[in-house]
Amino acid sequence: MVKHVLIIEDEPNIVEALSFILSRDGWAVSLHADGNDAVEAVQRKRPDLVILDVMLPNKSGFDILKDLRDNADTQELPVLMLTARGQNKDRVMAEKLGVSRFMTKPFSNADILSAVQELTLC
Amino acid sequence: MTPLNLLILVCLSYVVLLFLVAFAAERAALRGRGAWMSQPLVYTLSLSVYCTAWTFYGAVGNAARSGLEYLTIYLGPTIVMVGWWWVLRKLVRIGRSQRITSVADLISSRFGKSNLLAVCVTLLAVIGTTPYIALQLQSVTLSFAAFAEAGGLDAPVADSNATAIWVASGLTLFTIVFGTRNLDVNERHYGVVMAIAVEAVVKLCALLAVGIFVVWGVSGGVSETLQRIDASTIGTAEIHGGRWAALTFLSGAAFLCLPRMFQVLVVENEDESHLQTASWAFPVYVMLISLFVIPIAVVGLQTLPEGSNPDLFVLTVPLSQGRDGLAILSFLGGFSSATSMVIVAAIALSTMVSNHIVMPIWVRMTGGGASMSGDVRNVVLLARRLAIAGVVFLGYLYFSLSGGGAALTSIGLVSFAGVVQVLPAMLGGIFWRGATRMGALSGLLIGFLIWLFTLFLPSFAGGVFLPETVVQFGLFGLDWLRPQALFGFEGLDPLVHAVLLSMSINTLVFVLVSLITLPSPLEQLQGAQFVNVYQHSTQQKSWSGGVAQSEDLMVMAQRILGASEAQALFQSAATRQGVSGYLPEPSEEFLAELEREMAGSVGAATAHAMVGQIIGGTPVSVHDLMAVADETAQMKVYSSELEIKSQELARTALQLRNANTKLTQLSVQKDAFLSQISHELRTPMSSIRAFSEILRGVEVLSPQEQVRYASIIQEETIRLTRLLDDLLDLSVLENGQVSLNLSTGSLSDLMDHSVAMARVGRDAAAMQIHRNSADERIWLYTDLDRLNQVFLNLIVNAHKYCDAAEPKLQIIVRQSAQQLTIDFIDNGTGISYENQNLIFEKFSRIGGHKSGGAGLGLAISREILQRLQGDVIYLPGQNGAAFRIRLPESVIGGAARADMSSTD
Amino acid sequence: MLTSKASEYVYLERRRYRTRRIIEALKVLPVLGIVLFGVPLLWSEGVKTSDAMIYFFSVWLALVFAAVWLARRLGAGAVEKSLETDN
Repeated sequence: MVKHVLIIEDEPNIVEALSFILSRDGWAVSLHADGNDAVEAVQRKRPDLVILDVMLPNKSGFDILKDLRDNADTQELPVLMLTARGQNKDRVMAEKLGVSRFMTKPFSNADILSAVQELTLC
Repeated sequence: MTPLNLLILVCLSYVVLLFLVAFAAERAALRGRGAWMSQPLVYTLSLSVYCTAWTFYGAVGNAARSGLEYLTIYLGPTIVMVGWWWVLRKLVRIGRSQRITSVADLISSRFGKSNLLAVCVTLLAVIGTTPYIALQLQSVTLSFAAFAEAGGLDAPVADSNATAIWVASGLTLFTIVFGTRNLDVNERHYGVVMAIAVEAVVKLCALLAVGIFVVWGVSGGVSETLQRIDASTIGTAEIHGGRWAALTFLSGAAFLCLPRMFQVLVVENEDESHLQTASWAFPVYVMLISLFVIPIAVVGLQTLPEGSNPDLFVLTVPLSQGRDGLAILSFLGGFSSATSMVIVAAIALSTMVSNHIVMPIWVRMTGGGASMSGDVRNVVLLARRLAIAGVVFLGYLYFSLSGGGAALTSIGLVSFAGVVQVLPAMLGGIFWRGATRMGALSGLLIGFLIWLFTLFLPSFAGGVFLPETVVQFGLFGLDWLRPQALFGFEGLDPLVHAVLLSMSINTLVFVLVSLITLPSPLEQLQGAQFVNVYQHSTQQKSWSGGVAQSEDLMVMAQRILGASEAQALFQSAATRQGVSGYLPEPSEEFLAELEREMAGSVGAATAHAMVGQIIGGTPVSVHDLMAVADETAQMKVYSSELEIKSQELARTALQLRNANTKLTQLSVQKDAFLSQISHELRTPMSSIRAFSEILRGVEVLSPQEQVRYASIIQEETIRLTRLLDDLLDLSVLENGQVSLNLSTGSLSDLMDHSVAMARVGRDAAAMQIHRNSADERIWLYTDLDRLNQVFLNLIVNAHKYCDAAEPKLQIIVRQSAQQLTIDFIDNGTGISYENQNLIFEKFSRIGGHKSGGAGLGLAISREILQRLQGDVIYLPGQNGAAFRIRLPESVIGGAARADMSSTD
Repeated sequence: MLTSKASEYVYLERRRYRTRRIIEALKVLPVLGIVLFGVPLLWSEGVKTSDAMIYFFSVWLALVFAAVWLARRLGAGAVEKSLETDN
């Protein structure tokens, strides 16, 4: 069964790179670029995993994560967070909010793939 | 038994009684049971040494001659006592805190511990007091004579010299025994004070008894007495304004300046609060003393034969009425008055003479200090004893040489007038910081000379010292140098003339010389201590620097203070300093304390000189002066300094708080900035890395894919480069390191250039740009490249962000007197209100990253315009995004120049 | 607690105020003495000695009473205490 990944990211080139890597590995990829209705997009698309950027227009990745964790049907959803802000406090913040995996940009494609696989195994 | 023999017996018994009283008082004090003696009442009674035989007998004589004038002698002291808060309180406080031993010591100590001044005051006091002592001796001999006359004996009159010798010897003995028992003048003479208090009671009782006898016994009641008074030769009160005022002033001033008065008022004062009681009790005393003076005088005048000596009415009235007992009491009163005066005056003068004349000479001769041998106490005591004997002997000599008689009666006031020459220096010294030693010295000498010339010398009748011709025609025959009309002041009473001239010239010279001379450091120091005695009663700084040998000091102190006292003093000082044993560090405070203690024995000047000889070096450095000279001012400065400091502190704290806030803000900003930079760098790098990994990967990519991914990498690399360029640009601008490249150019050319650059790589038709070339015909003198950068940024922004279907950009140029405005208005949705302020911040990008900018453009533009003295703001309400550039008028200034140069 | 403290404070202030007024009176007293003892200078000739005596001793007595009253009001030790406030 094809697993479904939702990429919430506003930087088009990164979106393109991620979707290329994941679809080549056999994932179904859907995209979302705005922070505002990201939670609704997750609920609508019901992905197996979400790749979430921190700095999104209108609503930060942290807020989206918090909403996802507060929501019963997305509580257990694996969330892989990507950030370009390389500060440790962001990682602490994300872990406090219940992130599944936290990675900083720039990332290695192999790391992304293995992380996604690990998170969707169980 | 003849009245005379009885009198001698009573007299001797009285003397024995006085010795016993004094002895008992000394013993009680020694055993610590002297508390009852330090009563305010005893203090008040001791002040009665003011009332000497001259006032006891002389007041009645004076009243018989000039009516009420005698009152002035008591009114002056009454006013001084009632006004104790003004002068006496301060004198007593200074006397106690500075261990003042005499008037001379006060003046000397105040004016820089000057011994010259002390010697002058001492000489003045001796000259002024000696005739006065003679007067006392005379009164005793006269009263003896009066008794002898009444007893029908003539012999004793011829023997008046013998009487005087006996009296003088007895007084000397008494004074030496009780006046020099202890050295420290501040230890007080309990015996003497007690004896004087007893004598005060005796003379008051005597006068009251005679008065009561006269009023009720002779006249038959109060109203009868009053009638008798009015019927007498002094029945009409004739008050001579000048004499009245001068005498009141003189008596008040003398009350403060007389050595014996200073002795009992200040030196013997045990407790400042005693003044409070004495302030009313002493006026009561003198009021009672003067109450019956007129009645006695009137009765004397009416009942005694013509030609009787009115000075002896107090004695002769009871004698003539056959009241021998009363007469003896009266005699004892007069005797008391005379003896108490002589005793106290002798003590006061001997202190001055020994401290200011004998001791300095002795110190100089023996080298003083540690090298001196023997017990200095003995030297001092011997000096005192000799001085007492000398002073009394001088009085006797004066008495016998002047031959007694009427010449002496006027000497009382003459003496007063001499002694009060100290007054200007005294009052100036305690109230005026500006008074100097030279001022005091000159005032004193001038006053003294004038007094000598106008009053003292002429007082000797028959041209003893001053030839009659001088009195009549002036010194050297100069008319204006006539003693009783000096400088042409004619028609004045001789006494008024002398007092007025001497006091006013004395004061004037004192003030003037003080004003033009500079005080020495020590003088300034002492001046501050005296004038501001209430602020610092005990502190006294004097010694600094110099290496004092504590052991030498100890050796010296033992000789002056006595071994046990000195050891106790040194030990307590050592304990206070935390040093074990007897030898404290010769600190400034200790030296000052030691000097003060010794000053009580040998006077301030001598003590100062002695310590100075051991310490060596200058006693007061200029530095000290700077520090202490103006203590009040310094205290004020200090408190205001504190205030300023606390204000400064508050300001600094505020500045620190502000700085801290700013730093915190900066830190937050820095964190945000770093996080932003990180984000801006990592985002393109993510794409670059991801696509380069893809391109390097194993799969075969289609050529289109390869091209596309490579171009993404290129695009992101360019973005990175631009970001770094912008960052550097901004950093340079923000640090103010940018140097403006000012040049002249036309606005329209500049705008053409900007628009053209903005369109590079863009479809020219994508946005319409409306300009008014007429308005743009302006010459600018500014950094044209930087301004172009701003224009370009705004136009490119419009290109990027204008979301209208048919994008339009209007560029409107307006010129006013103060400034040039250039508006860039597009027809897009514009920027929401809450974002209008944010857009100028670094990395703020409204509406995502699709534009590809780093979000630094507007921040850079704003920085540039600030450098050009202008600014850029968002202009709301223009139906689209609107930015207004404002430039100062000075930028347009270049237009005129450019125009002119072009027309040339 | 608070009120008692406040009243104590007021009381102290009042005492100090009183002391100051007394000191002022003390300072005025000798001036008054000079003026009153100077009055006879203005008398025309021919005042009876008995009248003059009565005048002088009355003034004298008045001054003494004033001094007694002020000394009592000032109280013992007031000299020390008031020194800081003086000058």
